[in-house]
Amino acid sequence: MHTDTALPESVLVERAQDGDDHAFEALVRRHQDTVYRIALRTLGDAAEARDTAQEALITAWRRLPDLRDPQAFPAWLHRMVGRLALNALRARRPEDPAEEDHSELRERGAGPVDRALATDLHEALRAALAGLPPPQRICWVLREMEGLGYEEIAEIVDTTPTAVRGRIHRARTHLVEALEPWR
Amino acid sequence: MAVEPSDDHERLPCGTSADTLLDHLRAGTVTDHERTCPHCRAAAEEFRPLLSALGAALDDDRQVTAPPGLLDDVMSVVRAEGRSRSTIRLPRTGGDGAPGDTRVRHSAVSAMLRARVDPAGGLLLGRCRIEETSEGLVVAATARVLTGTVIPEATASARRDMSTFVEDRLGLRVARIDIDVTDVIDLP
Repeated sequence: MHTDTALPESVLVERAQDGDDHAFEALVRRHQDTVYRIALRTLGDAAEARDTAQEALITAWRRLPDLRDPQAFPAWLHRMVGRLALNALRARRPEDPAEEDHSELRERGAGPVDRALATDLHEALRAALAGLPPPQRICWVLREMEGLGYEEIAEIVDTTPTAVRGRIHRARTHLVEALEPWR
Repeated sequence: MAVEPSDDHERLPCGTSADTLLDHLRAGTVTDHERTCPHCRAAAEEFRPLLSALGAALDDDRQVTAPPGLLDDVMSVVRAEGRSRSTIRLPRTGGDGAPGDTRVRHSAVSAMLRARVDPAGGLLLGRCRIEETSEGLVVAATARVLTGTVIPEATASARRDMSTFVEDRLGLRVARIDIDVTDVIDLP
């Protein structure tokens, strides 16, 4: 059992599918940082990201027997956390149907004061991302920061690859404009 | 990666896709056209702050690690739930002592069986499912073989180790042990 961390991932996945919690623990150790990062990037809030990461990992354990291809585990796990993070975003503003892909910008979690304080590019990017409608934000984050393909993102956000492409395009246009002062 | 949809929302007047240009800029694989075309150069200049910000964000991201305690919280739920609650009942040996059944969870038997197969023999067990039948225990395992392993020898040895374990340690008969070799791997 102590050698679990040295085992190939597909072996760990199959063992975990059989109910081997040591194997699952090794998988959690390998993937928890990425899972947390996806949640944090999407939600922008550490406490919410932690809850979402925890929910994703526990859901992964419960649904693991349904996973047919053990090699697909990382992408499957990323989809799970992406979907949960998006749900959390939607739940945050029940009065605002986040499904609606408004292209106008909103200030969310980063008001003008935050922007004024944004002293470096990364801070500016963070602020600009916070101003994006959630569907655009998550598509952009998953594409540019996590390197997922359009098809995978479409599955997470429950839309078509073409719609994902459109959202990323609009997100990028907004971000390029928001960062113009740094040109 | 899956084939991307072909409709492109963003093409520069020269026909280059903004996506492709961005990918090239990020990877440092800008083409001759992109280097000299005024449209591409203007777009690259526009993207520059975003790319720098993205680079900085990705650098910072690498420092972001899961909060302490996340692993423990997840694992305590996982362990409390377990997977399958099915058990096998071990036969009673001898007539002494108080009456009572000994049951072992399938997942525990699987874990012990996997542990019996030494990876040094060239075989790594993945899935290992057990079933009780009237003829004895049926084991169905998947395995990866390490490069260079002689498969019949390795599987025979694994069968021997698992049978010995089931018979000697659990006191059960073995009906059959199926091993499905799914891949050849190199250990890291």
